[in-house]
Amino acid sequence: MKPHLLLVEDEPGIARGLVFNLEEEGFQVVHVETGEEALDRVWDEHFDLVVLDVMLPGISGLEVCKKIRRYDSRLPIIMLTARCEEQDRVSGLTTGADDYLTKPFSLDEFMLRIKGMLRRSSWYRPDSGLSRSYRFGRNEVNLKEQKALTPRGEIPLTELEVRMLRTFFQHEGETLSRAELLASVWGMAPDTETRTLDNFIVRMRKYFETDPSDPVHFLTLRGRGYRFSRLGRQ
Amino acid sequence: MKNLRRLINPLIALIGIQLIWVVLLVFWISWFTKSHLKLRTLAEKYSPELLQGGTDWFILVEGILLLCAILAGVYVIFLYWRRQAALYRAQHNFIAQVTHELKSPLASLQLHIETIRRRRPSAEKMSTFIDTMLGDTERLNTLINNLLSAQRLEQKGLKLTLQRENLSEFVTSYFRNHQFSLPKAGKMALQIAPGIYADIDTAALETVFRNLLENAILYASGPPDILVILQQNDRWANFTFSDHGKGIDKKDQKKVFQMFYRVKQVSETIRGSGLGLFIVRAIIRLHHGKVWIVSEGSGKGTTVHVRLPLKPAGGEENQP
Repeated sequence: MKPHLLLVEDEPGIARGLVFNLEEEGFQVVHVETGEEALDRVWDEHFDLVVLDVMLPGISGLEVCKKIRRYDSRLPIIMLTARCEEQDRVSGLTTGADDYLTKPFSLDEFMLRIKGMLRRSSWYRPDSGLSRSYRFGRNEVNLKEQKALTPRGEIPLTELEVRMLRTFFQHEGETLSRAELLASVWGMAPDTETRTLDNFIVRMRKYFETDPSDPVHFLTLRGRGYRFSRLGRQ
Repeated sequence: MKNLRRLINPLIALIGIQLIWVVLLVFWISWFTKSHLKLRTLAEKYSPELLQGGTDWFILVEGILLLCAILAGVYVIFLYWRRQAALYRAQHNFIAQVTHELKSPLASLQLHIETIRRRRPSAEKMSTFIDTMLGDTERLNTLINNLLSAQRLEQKGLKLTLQRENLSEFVTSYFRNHQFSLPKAGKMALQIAPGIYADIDTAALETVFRNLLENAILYASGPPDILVILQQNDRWANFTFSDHGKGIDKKDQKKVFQMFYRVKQVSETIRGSGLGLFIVRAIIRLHHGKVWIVSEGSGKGTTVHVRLPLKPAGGEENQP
């Protein structure tokens, strides 16, 4: 199977050139221009490697790298940047990048580094197909294919449900306020008064909790919001 | 270490100096009046002829003036220090930004050249590559021109050759070239009154237009939507360049003309060197004209106004 690469680069010229070369070498490449898009894609799909530009519109490459590392410590990440001072290299590597290449770079070197990283990662990284699934309790959720396998059977998920689950998974163990959830799932102003959120949580519990009246994964924290716990109530 | 750094923070140092100064002043006045009284009683006792009014008070006033001068000196040093620090910061950002600006097109060029050498792409692919490479060289060219102009302007070494030209034709021909090649299928409308003449340096004015156009493209929200107007009124040729882009806050509308100054965008990185509008203003001033910005605020688009002295058609005026 072709290795699946994510390229995060906002310079259209460089991106086009890299995509062309990587595809010629037999890789399957997904190209995104912003860090936000990259984080969503990394969450939903299985990638074998990420090529990450540091200076991006919106959140920076360093921030993206830090966030990816929070839930995937094995995904190989190579950073591309125009900054070449030692301090910049160190800060890139400290955020969890595996390799660092400064622009302008040689195409041969770039290809060799990518292949080397893929070879090394194949020693320890399981090949899990193109989409990732997320397991918790007796459930398995596949965000890309928008479906969940639960003890009650297979459930198709709506776009909003996927977005809510992704938000919960990305912030596993953290308390999310109602405002944060509304903003990241519905894109609503946090002051909107709505019961939709509570109805959604009730639905999540019906899908995934063994006993919806005594939830262990989707927890309510009175007056503060909600928290998702992967291993069950702690 | 942190505490020490906080202690020598220049602002705190300034406040400290002010406090010391006030204490010193109070001490000086009270010491003077006390010793003055003492001296007076002594003089009254032993030799009344020593009592000459005026001299003592002169010493007091002189002392106070000296203290005032020291305070003013400290204040002036503080102001200069602040200006220097801001300039240093701006220059530091500028170097980081210019490094990025130079290296990105260079990286793209190298990548494409190596790709061509390695893969021998199809004719169709090749033409896209060449377009991209030309775009990169154009970007490098603009940046290098701006760097050189800024350097010459700063050393007051830039000399323009002003010549009588048909400004209407010049503006029309420059913007026509770019009218249909805007990125993201942007639009540009031209409203140029015919027969407007001015003394201009065409190469310098092209730099002005290129910078205005680049800003409108970089700071557009969505596809750029530009309106270029040239008209004459009274003794002036009025050129306005409006876009519907991100706009500029009132507080920044003058500052954007300073060297290296860049408006900070919330959660967005926009490339640029902070030189463009500095060069625009300098060039327009060398044309004996004026440039200013009108914007309703962020998100509401920007209009750049340029005013050049109107000249009758024909005739030539050369200036060093």
